[in-house]
Order: sequence, then C-alpha cells, then structure tokens
Amino acid sequence: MGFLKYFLRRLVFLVILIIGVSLVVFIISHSVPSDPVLANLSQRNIDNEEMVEAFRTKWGLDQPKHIQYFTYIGNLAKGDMGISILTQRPVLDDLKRFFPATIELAFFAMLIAVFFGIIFGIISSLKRNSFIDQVLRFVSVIGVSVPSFWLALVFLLVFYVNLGIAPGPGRISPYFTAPPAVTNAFVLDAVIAGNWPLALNALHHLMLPALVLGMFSMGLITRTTRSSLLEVLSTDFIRTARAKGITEKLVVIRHALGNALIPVVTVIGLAFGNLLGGMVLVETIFAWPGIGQYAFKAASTLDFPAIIGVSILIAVNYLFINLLIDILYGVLDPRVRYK
Amino acid sequence: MVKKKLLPVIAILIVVAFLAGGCGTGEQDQGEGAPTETTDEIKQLIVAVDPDYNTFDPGLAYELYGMMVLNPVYETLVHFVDTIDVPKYGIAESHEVSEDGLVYTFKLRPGINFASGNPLTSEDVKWSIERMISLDGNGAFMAKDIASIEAPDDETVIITLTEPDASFLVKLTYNAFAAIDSALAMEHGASNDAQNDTAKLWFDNNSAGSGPYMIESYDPAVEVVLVRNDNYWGEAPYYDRISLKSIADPGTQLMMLQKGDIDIAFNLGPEHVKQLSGVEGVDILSAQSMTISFLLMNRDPAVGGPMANPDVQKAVRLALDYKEIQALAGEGAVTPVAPFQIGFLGTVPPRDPNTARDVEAAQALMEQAGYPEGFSVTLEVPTVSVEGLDLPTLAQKIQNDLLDIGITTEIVTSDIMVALDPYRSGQQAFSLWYWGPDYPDPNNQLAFLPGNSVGLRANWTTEMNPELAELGRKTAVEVDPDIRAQYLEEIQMMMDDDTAFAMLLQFARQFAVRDNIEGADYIDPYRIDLRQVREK
Repeated sequence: MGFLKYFLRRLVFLVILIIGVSLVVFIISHSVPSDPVLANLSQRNIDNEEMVEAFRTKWGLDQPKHIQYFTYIGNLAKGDMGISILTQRPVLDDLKRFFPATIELAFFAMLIAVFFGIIFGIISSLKRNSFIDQVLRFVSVIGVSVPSFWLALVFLLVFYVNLGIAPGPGRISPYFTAPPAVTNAFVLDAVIAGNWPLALNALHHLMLPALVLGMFSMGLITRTTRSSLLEVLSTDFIRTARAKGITEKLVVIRHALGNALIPVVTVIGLAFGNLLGGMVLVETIFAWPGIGQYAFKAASTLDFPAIIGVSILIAVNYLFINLLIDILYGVLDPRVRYK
Repeated sequence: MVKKKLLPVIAILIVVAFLAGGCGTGEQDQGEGAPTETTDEIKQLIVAVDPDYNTFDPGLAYELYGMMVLNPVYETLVHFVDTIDVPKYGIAESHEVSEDGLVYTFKLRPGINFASGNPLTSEDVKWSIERMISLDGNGAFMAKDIASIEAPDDETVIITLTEPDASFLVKLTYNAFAAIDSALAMEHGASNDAQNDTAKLWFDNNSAGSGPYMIESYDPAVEVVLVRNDNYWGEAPYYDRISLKSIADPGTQLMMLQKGDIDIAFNLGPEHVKQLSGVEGVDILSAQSMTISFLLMNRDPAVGGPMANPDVQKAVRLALDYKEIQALAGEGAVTPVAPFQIGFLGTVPPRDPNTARDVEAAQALMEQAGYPEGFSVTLEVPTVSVEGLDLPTLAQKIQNDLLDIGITTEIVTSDIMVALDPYRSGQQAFSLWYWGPDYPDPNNQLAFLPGNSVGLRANWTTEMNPELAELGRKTAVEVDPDIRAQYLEEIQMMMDDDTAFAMLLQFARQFAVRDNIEGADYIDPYRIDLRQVREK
C-alpha cells in the first residue's frame, strides 16, 4: 500500500511538473528578443504587412501572452500539443516520429555504457592502483572529457572511411527502406516485420553512434562504480564475509556489488535522461533523425509549440526515469520504504 | 514477501511500457507498395542534401530544396533548361503576350497525361493556380498581380494581370504554378478553396504531377524518395529511384561520397572541396550561385553617423580587397558591380578583383568627406554560414581592409534571429548581410533601389536619388527584353557611383559527384535538375 500511494503521488506530481515546465519555457522563449515571423516568412514577405498579420493571426501570436498560454494549456489538457510552425504538422506527431530514434540510440548507448562501465569499474576497484586500474581510469577520463562531436567525426573517419568495418551514417543502409512503422524503432520494427537482414542492418548502424554517446556515460559509470565499490569493500560486513571463508568472487558479486550499485543507478538514470534529450551534434554527424535535431530547429526558428512540446517531453522523461530509479533502489535495497 | 517484490517490478514494467509505448505513429509514412529492399538491378541515384523543405504540396512549398524535389515531379507552363536567361516551354508549346503586357495566352502541348493516366488540361492548370492563390503560402506573392485565369478550351490557358510584370514568365517556372492532377488531388481532399483543402499531408507523401518522377515516400529528416513515372509523356527518366537523403553535416557528406555510399554531395564548403581535389572517382562541379553578400551602410546620419556620408560609402567600396575576399569564398566567386547577379538579364561584367581596389582614391574621398583620420564604427554581423563561408570570417577581412583608410571596425555578432529585426527596421549603421533572390530575375534585385524594401533598410529613400528610383520603376514593367537590359545596365552604372551598399560576393556553388554521373550541373532555382542526371 505504501508503494502504491508513493507511485500515485508521483503521477500527480507529473501534472504539476508539466504545467510548471510549460510556463517556464513559455516565458523564456517569449523573452527572446526576436520574432518567429522573421524565421518563418521569406525575406520578401516579412516586408508585407498583410502576410505578417495573417501569419500572426494564424498562429495566435496576435493574442496577449497570457491568452496564448492558457489556450495552449487548455489544448494540452485535451492531448493537443499544437501545430509546429516550422513543420506544419502536429507537434505530438513530430515527437512520435523523432523520439523513437533517440530512444533506440540512447538505449543502445546506455547498454554499452552500463555493460562496460560496470565491468571496468569492478576491475578497476579490485586491481586498485595497478597498471590496469590506471589504464581504465584514463579511458574513463577520455570518455568524459573528449567532445562527443569530435569523437563522432574521428570514429567515422577511422572505422567507416579508412577501415570500412562500420556502416555509414543514417539508421539503415541506402539500399534498404524503413520497416513498416509500429514503434519507429527500426530494430524492433524490423524484427516485428520478420525482416532479419534489415534488423541486423539497423543494429549495425546503431553501433558507432551508440559507442560515441556511450563513451561519456561509460566514463561516469566506471568512476562511480569504482569509488562506490571501494567504499563498500571496506565495510565491516564484507570483512565478516571474507572471515567466514566466502570466495572473493562471491563476496564481490553477491555481497558488495548490490550495495555499491545504488549510486551507480543514480548516475545511469541521469545519463539516460540526458541522452533522451537528444544530442544534436552527434545526431547531425550521423544523420540520425532524433529529438536533438528537432529541438535545435525548433529553438532556431522560435517554433513555440515545438519548443514547449520538446521541453515537456524531456521533463516527463526525467520524471519517469527518476521514478524507475527510485523503484530500482527498492529492488536493490530491501530496507528502502516508500512513503 | 513475494507480493512486496512484485509491486515494484510491475511498476517498472508500466514505466518502461510508457517510454516505449509513446513511440510509433498512426501515420503511414511510406507510399503504398514500397519495397523493403532494393537490388542491384534498380538504377538508383542517391543525393545528400541539407534540406529546408517541410512540405511537397506544390501550392505551399517555397523552400530552396523543395524545388529540387518538385521540379522532376510537377511541370509548369515554362521552365529552365541548362540556363536561366530565358525560360523554355514546359507543358506549354507556345505563348503570346498582349501589347499592353497584361494578357498571357498559353497553348498546351497536346497529349500530355499525368502519372495517374488522367489527361492534363487547361482546367488543371487553372485549378492549380487558383488553389495556390487561395492557400496563400510563402510563394503566393508571385501571383499577386493575377487578375484572372481562364481556360476557354482544353489546351488554352489565359492569365490576365493587373499590371505589366517583366518577370512574370520567370515566376511561372516555380512549383507554385505547377499543374496538379486536379481529379486525383480532389479525391484526397484538395480544393481550390483553402477553407476546404485538407490535402497537405497527402501531398507530402504522394504526388499528382506529370513529371518524369513521382514521390514515393517522405520521411522528415531522413529522406524523400522519388520513383520513375512509367506514364511520362516525354523522354523516359533514367533512374528507377532517386533518394534525397537528409545529411546536414558537410563532413559526413564528404565521407559518404568518398566511400561511394552517395552519388552527389551537395552541401560541401570550400574547405571540403579542397580535400576532394585530385581524389579518384570524384568530380567537382562549380557554378555561379544566385546568393550575394553585401555591406549595408545606413544613409540616415542619425543611425549611420559618419558611415551615412555617400563619400565615405564610396571610399569603403574602393578600400576593399576583392581578390582576397573572393579567395575566402572559394573558386568561382565573383564581385558584381551592383546587386544584380551574373547570369541575369542585363547584368554587366563583374568587378576585376585585381584592379577594383584603390586605397589612395579611398583615402582622398575620406578626406573630402571630412574624416582624414578616419573614425570608429560597429559592424553588425549575423552568425550564419553562407555557401560554406562564415560571415564573421568575412567580417574580419573587411575589418582589416578598412584599417587602411582609417576606419576602425568593431565586429559585433548576433544570432540571425536577433539581427533580422534591426536590419529590417533600418536600425543598423553598418552591417554585413546576404541575399538570395526569390526567383532568378533582375526584378527581384530592384528591392535594393532607393525607396524599395532593401534600400529602406539602409534608409536610402527615393528622394536621395529620384532618377534611379524612377528607372527602377520603368524596368519592373518593361516587357521588351532589349529595352529592359538597357535600363538594367544604366541602373548598375548609377549604383556603381551612388549606393548605400558595397557588393562583396556572388558566391560560387561547388559540390561533388561520383565521376560516373553526368547532367548534374547547378541551375537555379532547381539546385540540380534531377531530370537531366544520368550515368555516363
């Protein structure tokens, strides 16, 4: 019952969050010293008063700001996020189109980051101050320090152009067409369609951008795992376990790791939330049609409905990821109680 | 105990289902019958572009790359082939213009069918233009002088204007005036009354044209796919499939071309093109772009300060090192004398970059203007890249050149969204801008004359040069091309002496193709005429 109340309370908080985010983003985007008319009409038409007035009327920009906001919130309550000024499509449709590409990429990036990050962190902590520890710490520093766009270009040049072992940019190779849209995650949709060559091709195309994006998170996870595990390994109960004759492997995996993972799970959650917000530079270099590029174009053209839509999406992502992390805490540590 | 553990797990599944279940779309993104895999037997062209299109509704589309897609799909009464000096006949086979320049009568070619098999008649042309006017998109301004459109018989279209327009034939080359299969379009919600038109989404993923290709699918930010029209009335299209892939990064385009994953890389900058020089299997194509870059010098002393003085403005024009400026832009860039692009009717030859600079004469003018020691001024620059050249980089070169005549320039950059407002409202004393014509006709460029839209951004009013303003008005309505060319030459000579602008560049467009490709030459407004592209 305690958990149910906790879960429901978080859902209620979601509504407050959406209103808060939409209000803050609305105020900020309308404070920019520019005019969406200038971004969306041609240079000739911005001198045409009739065209400018028609544009403002069409997009409700002639209304007082508070009316614009309440109209937006009223429509949002009905599930309508408005029409994008730039794409002229419903913002919700745009998000459904671009977000799955980001989810798919972020998922595989986190898979790489978590798998290698935790393993490297464990090895690093067990071989503390050894040569391998230094190497792994160096790799983790590189991961968090090197700009991802630079890494993207270098990886493409080395693995795609020079070595030819990685496919080119894009979600699939030019000689394939996209699978029938079910989730818009190409690997999953190809599997659903039973098109295994396409699924493998889509997976292959994911590897390089996922590796680039995973590097930063992997570096964070490695360092957090290492420090957390070192702390847990120095506790009394671990000393007791060793004294009882339990093998070091079991001490680490069964007794230490679970306790060490709690801060790691926090970092994973934050990193995943960050990736779900899109990485516009990496998406641009890999021609990945994700939410990052969409958000960038929306911001560049003062596309208010799209800007608010993306902001709400990112905020909701973080909220649900934090909820997921809180739930995982309870799974990892039975002492955690939900109130 | 089991129940306690189960609840959080169920909650996790709900959350994951939310994240995953929010995906997907009810829309069918692809045209019906789209293959899921292409084979070596299909002749396919892959073009990498950094597109700006958001729709393929010909009545609404007005983006630079939209024309590249729509040109091979829809046809117009007249269009450009190989050059942009004079439009050639498209679906029309002849035309007449009344003596007063108000009535255009077109005869359609007989026997043209749309891709659907429906015959193309004058009613389709009439309906399409009426629809475009009613939708009132960005391109509708080109039809503002149309008083009426008549279709007295299946092969005759009569367009009557409210006033003569020397550029009207050029405007007719645009997709806004494309003939749409009205019967097919109306089945999918199109109407020549915008209130009842619901066909935009359909047009984004399908087509109703008579061109050699048809739109098969459009996936925003990914690609648009064209397939051959087997019912095409003209010469059979070469390719079975053309894919225009959205690849924003020029470095990525470069790598994909080198690997052979694409056939054309359209958005390379000068630095990328240099890397491809001498590379086997790749050809570099170069042509004049219609985009120009210029300095704006405000004529209002309250805004421009010392920069408002016409002698100072002339001194600036003489002080610039055009040779080095052109080198920054890359091979093929030139400097027009006035804001009329090379390639347009009546444009005089560009400045000779080796002799155009005269620092001594510039210094003399500064003295004459009362500024022998020079002065300080702010140069406002939007942070934008034009044809691969960053404007702030160009500004640094200008800053350097003006030091030779005593003008100390502080460069202030801002996002283009922020810079557009003061530019448009004439509040900039000294700024660096660019301009791309709406259509390849010198009438576009008359906007730079005193009292016209761009002229007024520099507060250059009609009263400041009434003779020039009057010549511009005469040019706009003169339908005789020889007389018009003469007027245009006079305008350019007058602006060489007196203008609120300094022309810097007419950019060259360079891009790269696989060396087995031909027919991919650059042509405004289509970028590349995809109808002409084929393998050698």
